[in-house]
Amino acid sequence: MFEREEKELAQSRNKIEKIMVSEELADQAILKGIQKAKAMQLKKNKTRPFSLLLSASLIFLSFFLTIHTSDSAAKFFANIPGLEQVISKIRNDTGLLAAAENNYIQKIGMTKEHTSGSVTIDSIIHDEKSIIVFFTGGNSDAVLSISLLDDQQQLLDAEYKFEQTEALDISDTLESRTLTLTDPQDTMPDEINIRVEVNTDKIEYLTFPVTLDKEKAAKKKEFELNETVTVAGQQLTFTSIEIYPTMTAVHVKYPEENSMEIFGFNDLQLIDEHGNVWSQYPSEPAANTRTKNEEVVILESSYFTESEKLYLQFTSLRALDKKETSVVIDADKEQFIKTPSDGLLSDVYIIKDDLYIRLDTNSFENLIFPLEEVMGSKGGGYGIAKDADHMRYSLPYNGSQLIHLNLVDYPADIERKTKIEIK
Amino acid sequence: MEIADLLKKAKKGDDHAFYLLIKIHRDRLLKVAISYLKNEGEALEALQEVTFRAYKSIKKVKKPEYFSTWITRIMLNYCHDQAKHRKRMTVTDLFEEYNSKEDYEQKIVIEDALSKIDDRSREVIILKYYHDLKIKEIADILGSPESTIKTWLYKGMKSLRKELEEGSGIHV
Repeated sequence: MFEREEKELAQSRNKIEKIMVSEELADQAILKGIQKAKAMQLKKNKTRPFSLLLSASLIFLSFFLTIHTSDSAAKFFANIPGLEQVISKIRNDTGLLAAAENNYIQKIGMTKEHTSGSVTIDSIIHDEKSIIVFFTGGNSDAVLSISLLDDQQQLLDAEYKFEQTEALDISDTLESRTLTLTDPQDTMPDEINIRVEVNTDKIEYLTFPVTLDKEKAAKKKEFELNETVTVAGQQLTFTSIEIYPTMTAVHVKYPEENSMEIFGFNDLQLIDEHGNVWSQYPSEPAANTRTKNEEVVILESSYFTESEKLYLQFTSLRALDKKETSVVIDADKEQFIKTPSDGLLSDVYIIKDDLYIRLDTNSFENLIFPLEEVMGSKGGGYGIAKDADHMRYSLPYNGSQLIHLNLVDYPADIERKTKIEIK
Repeated sequence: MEIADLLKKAKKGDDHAFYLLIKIHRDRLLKVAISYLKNEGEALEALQEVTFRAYKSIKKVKKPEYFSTWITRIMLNYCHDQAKHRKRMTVTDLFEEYNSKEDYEQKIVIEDALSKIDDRSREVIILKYYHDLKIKEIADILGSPESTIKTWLYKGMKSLRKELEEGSGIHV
């Protein structure tokens, strides 16, 4: 009876579901709500016996301490004048926090105006391979993108891989971008220009000349490994590890002979003799550089921690039989012709220009199809929505009858507790 | 732990139990908030405020089976208050905050139409189509008989159709 309205509502709902709210921020919001109510209650109860008050606040305090102990270092560093915002942004990254502790943040504080606002480069953290630029855009409408030029204004071959930092406060205006030189042979020059492309209704460029402070950069530590391990009959070879002040890069090879396609590690980490752990960044495929049978997995940096022993360890990998990694869909019938045999891909349907695919798990938030293959001509529309018991992927639908998609990630694990000695 | 156990503990002042109770309902509450407020920041603020309000009056919840309804109602009331504050903001402004440009026009049609129909009907439509609630659940949350909810739903969908037909003339 109301088909059109129902369809439009379904689409609108889907758009709204794409607004993902960070679970961490949501949990913090809950804690703040409790804190606020508690504070008010304590005020009200002022006339009550002191002992009661004390026990209430003690319970409260211990409850919060268990959650926030890892913040204590961040809080300490946050007292460094002028760097509070940067510290708050990197406080969940053990390696970057150590870089800050070792005075490896270079303050820039340079502002330039464009037609509809301004951009300030607040500070940078850099090493021979990467630079993390912390900046604020005065005008929220402008889309800012950052690139690196050398002193001759020539573009440096650097790529934006992933975000190491995260917004922890709703009002956080400080943004950051991590740029890494693409060619393994390249090193960061001493004189660079940070170029900010400001995209409003027109494009403007702001260039910030920066001399990298050599005192605040450090040489990488490199370990040759060439260790091969076998997990569920699949071989993987850890070739080498490079530890930079900003990150750790683990090079892994997956031989062509493997019967399974390996999508990534669930929990690769470095650990030392004291139990210090440096973890993988949230496992987005985009976080790691990947060519066909080779991958560079990025972990937090253990650069500034003096450890006698260092191990690489993991318990599980995401992998699927190579024969199962392609998905074929009959668009007319809205049916799968081919999917992985576990049946997790359980439903497909089309509404107007969007193709919806249901994946029966609610704990997997990676993109399972390659971005470049599914980007529509209209330039977007790839989204994931999380429901109570499933995920819903929406891709732009181009009208063709048969749709072929290759999985680039999938929630199927192979497991083996593995620990490799690095030093 | 079951909701009943958590509620019992939370009513006795166990903060961790209360935290877990809200955390269980977190995603649902956020979904409601987002469907009204349309952005992460305000949805988080809403979650904080609803936690605050719920903490203050947790003792009022008599039966555990009403907890979900009760907390959702607090969220709805909060979103209503916020919506009133923002009445002056145009629908277009709201969308610029979160909408991707390519879907812009189409989005305005349906959302604009929704914003023009009466409050009660809109609420029922949002709860049914954005949150998959059953008529009975909606009746519980809004505190009205199921027959009334059905009437509002029907009335709302009719108004929505009317608005969409008028709206589509503008966007052709």
